[in-house]
Amino acid sequence: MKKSIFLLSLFFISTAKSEVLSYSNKNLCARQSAEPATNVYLLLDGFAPGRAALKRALDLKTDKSVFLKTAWAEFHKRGYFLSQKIIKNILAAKLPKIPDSLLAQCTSQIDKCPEVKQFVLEKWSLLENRSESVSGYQCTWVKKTIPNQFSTKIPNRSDLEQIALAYLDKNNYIDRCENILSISLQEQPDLMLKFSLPEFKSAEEGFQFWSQFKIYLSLVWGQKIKSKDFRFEDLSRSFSADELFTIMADGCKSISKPECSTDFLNTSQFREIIKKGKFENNYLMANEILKAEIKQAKDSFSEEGVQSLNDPSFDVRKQLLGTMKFRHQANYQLYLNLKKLKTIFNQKSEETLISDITSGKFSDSEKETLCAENNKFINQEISGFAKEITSASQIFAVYQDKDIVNLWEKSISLNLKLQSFCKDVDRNLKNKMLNPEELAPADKTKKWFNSVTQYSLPFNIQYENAQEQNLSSIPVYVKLGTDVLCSDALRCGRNIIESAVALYQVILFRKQVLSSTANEMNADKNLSATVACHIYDPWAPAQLRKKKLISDLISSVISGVTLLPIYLDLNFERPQVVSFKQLVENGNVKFDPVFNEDDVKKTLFLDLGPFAKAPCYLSLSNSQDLKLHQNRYVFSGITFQGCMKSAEGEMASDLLNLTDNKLKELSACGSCTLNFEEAALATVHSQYSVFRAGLRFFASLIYFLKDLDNPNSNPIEFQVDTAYVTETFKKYNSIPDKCVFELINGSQCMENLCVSKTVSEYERLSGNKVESASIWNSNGEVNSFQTISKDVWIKIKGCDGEFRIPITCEDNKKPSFIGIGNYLLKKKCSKESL
Amino acid sequence: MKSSFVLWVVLFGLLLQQQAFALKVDRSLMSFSFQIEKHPIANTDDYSVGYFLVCSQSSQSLCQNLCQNSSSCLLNEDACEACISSSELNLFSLSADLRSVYQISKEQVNFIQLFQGFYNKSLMLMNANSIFNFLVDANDESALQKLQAEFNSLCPVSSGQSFLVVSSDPKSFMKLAYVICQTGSGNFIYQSEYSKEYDNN
Repeated sequence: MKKSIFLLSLFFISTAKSEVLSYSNKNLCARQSAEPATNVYLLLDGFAPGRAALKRALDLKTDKSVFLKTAWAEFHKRGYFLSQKIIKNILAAKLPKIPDSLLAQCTSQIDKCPEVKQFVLEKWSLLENRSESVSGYQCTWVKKTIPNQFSTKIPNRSDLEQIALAYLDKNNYIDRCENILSISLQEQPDLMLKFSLPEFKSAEEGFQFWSQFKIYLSLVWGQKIKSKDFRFEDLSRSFSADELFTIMADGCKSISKPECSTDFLNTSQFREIIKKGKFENNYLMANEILKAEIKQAKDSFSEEGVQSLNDPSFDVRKQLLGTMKFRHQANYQLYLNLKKLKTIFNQKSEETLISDITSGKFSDSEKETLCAENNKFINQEISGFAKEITSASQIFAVYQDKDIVNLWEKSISLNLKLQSFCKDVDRNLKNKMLNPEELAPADKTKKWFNSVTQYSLPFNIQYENAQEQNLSSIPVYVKLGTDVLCSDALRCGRNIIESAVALYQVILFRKQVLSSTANEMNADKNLSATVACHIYDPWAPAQLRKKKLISDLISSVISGVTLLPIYLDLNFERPQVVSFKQLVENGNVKFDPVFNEDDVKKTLFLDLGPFAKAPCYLSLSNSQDLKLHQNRYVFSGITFQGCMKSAEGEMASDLLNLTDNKLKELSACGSCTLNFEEAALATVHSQYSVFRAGLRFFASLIYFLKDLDNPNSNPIEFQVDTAYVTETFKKYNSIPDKCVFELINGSQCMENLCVSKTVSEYERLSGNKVESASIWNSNGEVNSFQTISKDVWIKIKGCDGEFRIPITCEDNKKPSFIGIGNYLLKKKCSKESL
Repeated sequence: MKSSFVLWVVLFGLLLQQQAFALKVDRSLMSFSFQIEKHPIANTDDYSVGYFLVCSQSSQSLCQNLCQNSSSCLLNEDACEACISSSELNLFSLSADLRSVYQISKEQVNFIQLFQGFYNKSLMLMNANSIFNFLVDANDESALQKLQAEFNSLCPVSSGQSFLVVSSDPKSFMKLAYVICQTGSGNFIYQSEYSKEYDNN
């Protein structure tokens, strides 16, 4: 179960009230995702300034180590100074909103918009030097991550112990931001700040605020402050803000307004890639967008409940730094593939390539592999990916680099013209399929093909590893310097597709890669994408949760392919592509008997909308025979998982064999798949309501799983008062199990929750300290089914005698009523001041 | 001021064209001109470093016209206004593909157009150790040496220290425009363009 935590109160106010950590359950967290963040982490990455410092030290012939540490300290000072100044001045309305009319002229690269820049710098120059004081503003220097700070679960006993230890040693973890200004040497390149701001008047205002902040910061950053307080300015101001800053909301709220669009969704997808590692190893297409969110939604209904998180030591710092790495890798991929395409098209015209491919002497399997890739890339009839990228031209057009648009269009054009050649190759192959022994082993496909196709396949396709090729050993068709880009026309064709796909990849992440403002990232617990796309609707679980569906659905949703809750009663001899609607109309679709057929039909059509017409991708995979020639089936559009239902009702996934008569008696199971590619491409293709309808369908499947008992259906907040945790820890030298429940409910560890909550509430309201407390049932009866009136007797520190507080409380629940008299609240005892 | 510079350029250009013509015959005549240096910028306590044009007696008019100082001119700082980012793709070719993406003119070019570029800030100088080149790790001395060797290898004449002159125009930011090859016998300036393999136009 994913849970959320965010630090609610002020960090370093050392009053008796100390600090309360808040944990939202999933439902609350989901509701909060639509609100603008007021607690935000800003990470300053000293990697680039560090490299620059080493070079500068070399030029100045000075000691590298001291120079580097000074440069980091100066970078941190400057970063803190400018970001806080911008935040405070936007809050104080001294830095105005940037007019939409100016912003409308810009693409993502805000630094290349002279009008916006002029506006921002003019407003900046008008600011006075004195520091604005803004109420409710707070900045914390996070020196070391507080245990559980970024965790996504409700703390257990050992988490509470870690929190206690950290708070006993608080100064090592957090400090005042102002102190950054007096540090002259920094050992660490990165700096983490946490800004806590007052609540915004409206959600709109809040999202606006963060967008302003990012723009002002990135444009002001390059300017010289020209103050003796800030040195080494060259080494930080020379770098664009996207090399240096990453911003992340704490808790469940959001920095950008959540919307169900590819741009926004990619921001959430982004962290998944970072976790996975290298950009170039992850072909992450639109069809994988939201997979993580769907999985997350599923997790919240998992059996393990509250304790089910196995990634508590998740390193957010590392993840935030990963954003820079991601950008470098993505930009390098962009460069590399642009270079390849530019060189190939520079040396070979489209006509030359086509004639060299079609008339060249290539083996059947070479041609078939090229055509499999061509089909996947360009043939919309059988490839969801091909449909997905049709909208890419528009995306490319927005990006102002003519080179990219031009090369993309050339790649598309070439492949379109290869289609007639590929139809012949396909026809030839289909004929050979009737006699599988004639088929030669398939060539290995490119990795992108494997990745894009893999979502709808139950087996792994072999793919070709890119290799550095040496000029001397192979024939040369296109080369650049000493690199052979392709050894023949056919390979050039395949390389062109591969590079075009890579361009598409980067453009898909343009918001993260090509933007010049601070990077933005969502915390793991953020549910904005999930909520925006209605995968998780915290307000509407009631009408959904009574439905039931087979649990198999869940795994298929997660694999990106949805199996509908149906069985296909097909004795097909040959693979075929049919639409779901067609199957229903032909009476081929049998619904699981646990469902009322009419209801399911209605629901499905209602939820699926246009998707009902999407082709079912019938799979005949997994038999040994087919495995050998899997690629051919793939590119013939007959991809997908197949499984069989035996006469006994057992599911088997590897029995399909077209030539085996015995199997004809069986019906294929659940095999009309709605490819997730179809759903995802709707994000860019048509109105996203269609997309939502589709996702709504997936979401409803998820909701079927659990019913009324699910605690996540209601918003719940847990709170941990760090003072109580440290107090308990000091008393027992550990956190006893019996205390956990009370502590995560914001109470002290006492006799029971009724007492501890009463005492905590009294201490909170009065400011007095309670020394001891005990409970009495006032009517002497214990009845666990009814609420019970009880009395809590407290001994106040410094006061003589005990005082009574009447409460209404069931055992081990929070009191529903606490009657603290006014006289008790105002009670001040003389000894206390000592 | 600008118009006088242009006028001066025209006049000086005419003079140089003749010289350049003569230089083909005797390269040593090039030593008449100037020196490029990278060193700290005076009167700043912020550890700023810049690329300077240092004029000899024979070329003081060059400096004088460029910056009203007869001995040396700051051409550009080794710093800029938030310009360095991995999304500037030309940076990758400067550190990885210099020799395959670019080719250098066989003949030297006259340096009037070069200095006109510095004058109107459309060009920037950088060396192997420039902070612009942030894709190269300065802590790795062999990487730096390799890069310097790569820079030097662009020079048709043997050069101990070559400088790259790149465009600072946003549309072609960091595209290699010229190479200045410094040798014991003077400076040689070559124009750069995309290699034929990369871009034939």
